[in-house]
Amino acid sequence: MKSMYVRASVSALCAALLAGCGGGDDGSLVLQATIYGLAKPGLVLTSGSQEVTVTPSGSAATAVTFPNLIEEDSTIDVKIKTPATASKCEVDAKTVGLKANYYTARQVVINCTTNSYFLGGSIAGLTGEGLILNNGDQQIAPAAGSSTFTFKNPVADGANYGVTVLQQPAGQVCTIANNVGTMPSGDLSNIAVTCTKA
Amino acid sequence: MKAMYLAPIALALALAGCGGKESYTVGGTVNGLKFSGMELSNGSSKVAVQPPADGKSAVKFQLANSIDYGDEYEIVIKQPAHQSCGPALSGGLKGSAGYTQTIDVTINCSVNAYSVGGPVTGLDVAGLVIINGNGTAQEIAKDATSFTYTDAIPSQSSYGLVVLKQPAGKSCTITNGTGVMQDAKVETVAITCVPA
Repeated sequence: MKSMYVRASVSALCAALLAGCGGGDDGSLVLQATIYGLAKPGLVLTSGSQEVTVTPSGSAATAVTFPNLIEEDSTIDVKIKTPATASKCEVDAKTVGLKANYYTARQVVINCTTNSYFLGGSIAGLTGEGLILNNGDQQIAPAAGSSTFTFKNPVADGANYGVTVLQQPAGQVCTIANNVGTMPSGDLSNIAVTCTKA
Repeated sequence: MKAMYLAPIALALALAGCGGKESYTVGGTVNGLKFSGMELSNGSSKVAVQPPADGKSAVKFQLANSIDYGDEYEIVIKQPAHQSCGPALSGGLKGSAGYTQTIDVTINCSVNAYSVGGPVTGLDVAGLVIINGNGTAQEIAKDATSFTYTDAIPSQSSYGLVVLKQPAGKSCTITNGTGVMQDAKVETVAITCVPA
């Protein structure tokens, strides 16, 4: 007699626990993704029927939580619906396709890189040696007679640039037009360096 | 009788097996070394550590003199040019031989960085934004009389401060905004604004 009550209450407890665990539509686990290298807006992620739009945090890693909880032991299936503007984004394959638990549901990783393009332009009248142009810590030293230049390292889409003369060539003074701006979605070659006799 | 001889032999063997090492070399790894001039010493034993050829690999070092079990060591760093180096773990340059199996000290180096800035004149409106290359866009406040650029510049790196955005009704120019950072902060970059 006694054991029947115990059994009944145990099964009631079980049912309550299961309901609490999300036997219904929603699960019990917070689904979170961490996006590395995100610099641009527009990234949309999906998990089943739910989706979330990610805004760059401004730091190296951006964390985002999906609106709905997911079920324990369901398969983690985060996909990229739309990559961030001017970026390439990929889901780290090791972090999806796993059975959902408290840990795996918070460890989805997505890596993004912003497209980058070359920065350069034209040079007129350079007859002396020694010209060094710089964009911050990036330098380039066009030889005498050069008519174009391109910095070695590409610049991310949407990043600012500001090119200055770090060192004037022997016997000449060079000035730069169009030297400041924001990197477009493509190579930029309208920076104009003009050198004249000092 | 037989057992009486065996026991001390076995004990001696066991001791040799676990503590046979009597002499310890003092060495380790230096990360992030980019410039020459680093010297590490322990007492009278010294070694010069040169930056790696590729400018980024870790460098191993070993001091010439070994030390005995139980001896204290303390590695003293003479800093390389333009950098600051220190133990990866606080207090990690000191110890006693035998406390760990090998003496393998990790030293991390970073390039010293200094601020650039200077006087501002004539800026009586908001909206002036300056940058250094692809660095942070920084707005200079209305009525500022001086500024310090937000990103510190590593020693021996070039910089070039330019106006990204002019404030309404003003034309601002930057003088002495370009150079190569030396080992001190720069306070001579001048921003001058005049009516546009």
